[in-house]
Amino acid sequence: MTPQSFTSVLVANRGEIAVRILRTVQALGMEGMLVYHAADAGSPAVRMADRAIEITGITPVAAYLDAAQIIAKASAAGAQAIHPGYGFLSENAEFAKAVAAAGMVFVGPTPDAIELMGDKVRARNFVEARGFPVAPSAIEDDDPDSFVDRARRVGTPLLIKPSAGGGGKGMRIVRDLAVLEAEIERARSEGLRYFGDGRLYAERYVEKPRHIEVQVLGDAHGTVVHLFERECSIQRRFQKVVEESPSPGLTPEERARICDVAAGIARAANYRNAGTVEFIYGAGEFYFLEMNTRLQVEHPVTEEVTGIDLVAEQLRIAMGAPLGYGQDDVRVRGHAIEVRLYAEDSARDFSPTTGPILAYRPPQGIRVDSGVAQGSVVTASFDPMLAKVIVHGDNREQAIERAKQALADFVLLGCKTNAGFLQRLLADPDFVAGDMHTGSIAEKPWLAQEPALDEQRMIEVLGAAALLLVPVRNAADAVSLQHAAMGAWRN
Amino acid sequence: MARILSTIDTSSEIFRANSAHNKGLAEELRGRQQAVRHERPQRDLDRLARQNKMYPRDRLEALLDPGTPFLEFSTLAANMAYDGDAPGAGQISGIGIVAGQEVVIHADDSSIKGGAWYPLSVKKIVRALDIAIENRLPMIHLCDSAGGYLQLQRELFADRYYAGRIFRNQSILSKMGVPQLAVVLGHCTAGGAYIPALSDYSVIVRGTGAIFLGGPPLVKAATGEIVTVEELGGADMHTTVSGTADYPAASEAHALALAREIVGSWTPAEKTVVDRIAPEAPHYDPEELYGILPRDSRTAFDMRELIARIVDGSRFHEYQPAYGTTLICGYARIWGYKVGILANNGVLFNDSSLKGAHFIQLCDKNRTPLLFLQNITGFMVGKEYERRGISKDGAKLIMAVSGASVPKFTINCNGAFGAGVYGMSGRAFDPRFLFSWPGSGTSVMGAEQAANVLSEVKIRQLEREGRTLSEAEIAAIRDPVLENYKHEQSAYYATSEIWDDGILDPVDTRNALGMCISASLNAPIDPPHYGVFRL
Amino acid sequence: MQHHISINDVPHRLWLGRSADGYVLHVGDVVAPVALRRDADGQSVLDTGERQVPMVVAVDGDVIHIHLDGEAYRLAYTDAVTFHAAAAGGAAGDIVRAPMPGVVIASPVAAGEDVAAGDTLIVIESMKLETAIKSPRAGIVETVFFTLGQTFDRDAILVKLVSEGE
Repeated sequence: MTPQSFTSVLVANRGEIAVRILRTVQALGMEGMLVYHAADAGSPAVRMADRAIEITGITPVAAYLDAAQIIAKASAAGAQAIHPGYGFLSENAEFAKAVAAAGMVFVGPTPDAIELMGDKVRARNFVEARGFPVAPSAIEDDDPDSFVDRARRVGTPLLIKPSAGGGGKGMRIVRDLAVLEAEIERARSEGLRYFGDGRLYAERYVEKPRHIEVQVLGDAHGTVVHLFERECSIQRRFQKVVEESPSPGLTPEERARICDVAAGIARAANYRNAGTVEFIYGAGEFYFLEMNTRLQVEHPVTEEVTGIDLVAEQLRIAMGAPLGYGQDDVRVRGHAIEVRLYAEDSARDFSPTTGPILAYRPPQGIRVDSGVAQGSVVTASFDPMLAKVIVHGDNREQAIERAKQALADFVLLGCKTNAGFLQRLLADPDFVAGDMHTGSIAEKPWLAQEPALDEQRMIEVLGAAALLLVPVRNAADAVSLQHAAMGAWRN
Repeated sequence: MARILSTIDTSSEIFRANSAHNKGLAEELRGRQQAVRHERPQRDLDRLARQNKMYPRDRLEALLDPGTPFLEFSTLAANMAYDGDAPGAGQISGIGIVAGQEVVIHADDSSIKGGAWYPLSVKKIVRALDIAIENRLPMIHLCDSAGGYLQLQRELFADRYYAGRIFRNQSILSKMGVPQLAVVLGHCTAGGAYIPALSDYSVIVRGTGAIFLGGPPLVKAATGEIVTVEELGGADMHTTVSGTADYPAASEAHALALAREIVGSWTPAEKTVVDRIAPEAPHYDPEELYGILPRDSRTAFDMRELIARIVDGSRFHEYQPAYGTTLICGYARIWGYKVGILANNGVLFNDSSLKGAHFIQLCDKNRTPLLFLQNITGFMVGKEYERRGISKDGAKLIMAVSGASVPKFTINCNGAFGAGVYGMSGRAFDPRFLFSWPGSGTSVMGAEQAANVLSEVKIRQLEREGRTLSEAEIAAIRDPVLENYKHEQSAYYATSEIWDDGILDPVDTRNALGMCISASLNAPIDPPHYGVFRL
Repeated sequence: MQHHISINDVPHRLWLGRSADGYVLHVGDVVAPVALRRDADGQSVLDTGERQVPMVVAVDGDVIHIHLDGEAYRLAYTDAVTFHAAAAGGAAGDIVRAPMPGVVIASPVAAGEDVAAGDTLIVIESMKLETAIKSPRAGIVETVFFTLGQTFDRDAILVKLVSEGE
């Protein structure tokens, strides 16, 4: 792909990220185009786009995954570049190639980089081969005879699990190598029992792991910088809920090391455009997990602390422009937190919710990246994320306070959200102390439960509802004033 | 309208003694009502629970609009009958508010003898239906009855106002266009089957509700057919096959919710328009009624003091204040409704009778409901008064009372004796409602007087046999007569026999009247018309 | 009989009464005067006599949404007949509802088919998880309400079995 200049960008995405990308595209004076499925007609992204082109599919999601259709419509509309956002086609190397083949610029990394990092085993081997840290492991299949010895060399704590496994079944954590062989046999018999397959896999077990990731940018001229880290340990159902930068869990030395490793990996991969290197971190150790070759959902926290517009950088890089600054020019100022507002019911195991958005008032003076507006209807068709609230403060305490206030001020009625859960989470003492890991939410089930209503609050909401419900009000009006005044008198 | 100026000294010894006495009477009333309503042998409560039935009082509360009043009738019916086996005569009746509408509710109390109908149960149900007819009030029957109490069938079956009258009244109410709903929560057997069948609407609970002329045992005895309750008269059979009932319900609560929705679908009657303004609480505390009523009912007191503690703002416009002063007449308001009040301040003389007859006609002409506050020992007797035509003047009062078209309400405050009862709209004169206060009584003459008359006969007979009786011997004859007479003229006896619509705690009088007046206005008021007044 | 209103799916009972100058709320033993002033944009102030409580309200038929003090509340009214019919069991055993919103990914049974208790009636996908919806009892399928690829909301009726009433 040859870098080339362009003046129009088609966003092959929807929701908040489409709005986010269009904002920068338009701010840079370019034409912002959008493809949309009928389910998104009337969405803020469609309203915002200079040009919106309808796409169709068996399901709405299928439409956004239909590379051929999107490229055909983009070409027909005269789009010069396509930004894939995240999800959908963003990490599809074939799509990136097809975009280029159609004479348009793919705003993202090279298809080679996408392919390399898209294959988890290849990516791991690539990183390990270049001397970067990956979690030590042993695969029984590689050489069954030496498996016990290789597992012993991985060291403790050690996780043994069936190769065919899932759902935690047959998993054994070994903290004392003296019982290693006994535990291997147990894991094997459980694997046979549950999966009919006794082959095993061993890897270093990270206690209370934290999810740390590093934003990187690489240009077409070989310059790679990192934009420091983001901590994304607050997760539920393996999805991130709260992200922040800087991480409260790293020492300055650890931060410097992990960021350098990330930049090193990107450099080794000859990485171009924006990407994110993800690590698992625990007990002072960190290991490479994977690299995401796209813009991340949580990119705004990096933007807030560095002052760099990542979408603008993506577009500049895609045009072939050099970064124009070096690592020393990237500085972190203050602390940023992003909370994700999901259409979900935390008390029902975070199951998604649906409904019309009857009232929508984002907090004032706060960055809210949102894909919905009053009148939008939340359906089960798409991911349940509605909006992201991004706050910046001089320090973490201030950022937390601002996030809580922003959530409290955020009016979104008609579809249940996790706003209450997020507020409880932000007030959790361990969170405030920065002491968390990817299992924290699961360990604190009370955060997911709505607190019992106190009587005063109950009276207030019931009173308002009673006055607004036609049948309730009619029943009141049916009673004569005299009988109402007598109350529940009995002789 | 001027406020009555009370002259009662609430700090006086007499007031305090009266107050203690009358509060005691009110507490006794409350205690007896509480027992009738809620005290049941555990086995009866267990039986209801086993049958998956709600306690009848809970059914009633679930049916009513919350936060609205219920005026219950004859709570102590049968309190002196059947050895006390049928508290409240095994029935609950009253006026309540359902879906905003005033309705008469009749409920079998299945916690008492399975809701069996005693003679007084029948009388209480007939009276509830009479109230519905007279006031054009929709009616709701909560049916759960084992049927007539066979041992006493001669007192409840054949006569004009016995059980058949229930079904006749239901039919008449329907004919008048007043809607009626039966909720079948238990068995409706034999005659009881007609209650839902004659109702315009009926709901029946699956599993516990059943309607049949003869239950499975009777069917087996009569024809040899063996059949289950559900097959014979269950909810599904009647709502899908026979059409005897309209709505099947999954539970009692569901049935009562349906009942409320059905009542809500009825178009409320246009009420008769009478003079009415915003209500005002009495200026004088109604609690002071206890201190005004004397401990001995023969002690005289000013009935204006009672009026001042019942009517709006204690305001009273007195008519003919200087004439016929033993009968106080005048206008006041209760819950904003203008009423004409007649209250006894002594025996009825010629002038007071004429004044009353005249005042009744005035009220009838200007559509003002009448309130009779009874405290009457009778018409004056003696040669002088007969010569002045006391019987003729009394007849005028009775003619006016009988003929008045406006609704009449009667409270026996302190006693109602002799022909005074007729002049003051006693039960026979069809006041829409009649209540008694706990210390009142009613009989053809006062107890002392009656005991004297009755014992005099006996004493004279013995004297004719040549015996002279000592004071003690006379007392031995007289005292049992007096005791028995007092018993039978007491408010508790009267209410046991359903001669009234119940005993009221005096402080409840204003609310009870407010309910009654409002209810009475569901019926139109005929133009005034009377029989011949003997002039 | 009181009104049935749930707050965030927790059942509550209340009654609204009138007073000479407005309305009175009855909840348990609490009796409080209530008045609601509504502005055009949904911003409202509830007056309880003692307090003026600002809130944002949105009305969606028999469902009222309230944003108050940083929390969103969903209050849903159920008429008494429906409430008590459901409480008594009613025809609930005939109806299979969606435990969460999602999309149909397999539909192994059709109307008229016999099913045993525990048989899979429909397979849904929600949150990238497949869930097989099982028959609550043995019976005959009356209707399958959604076809492959269709989306539905939580509590949507997915499948109805023929009633066993007769």
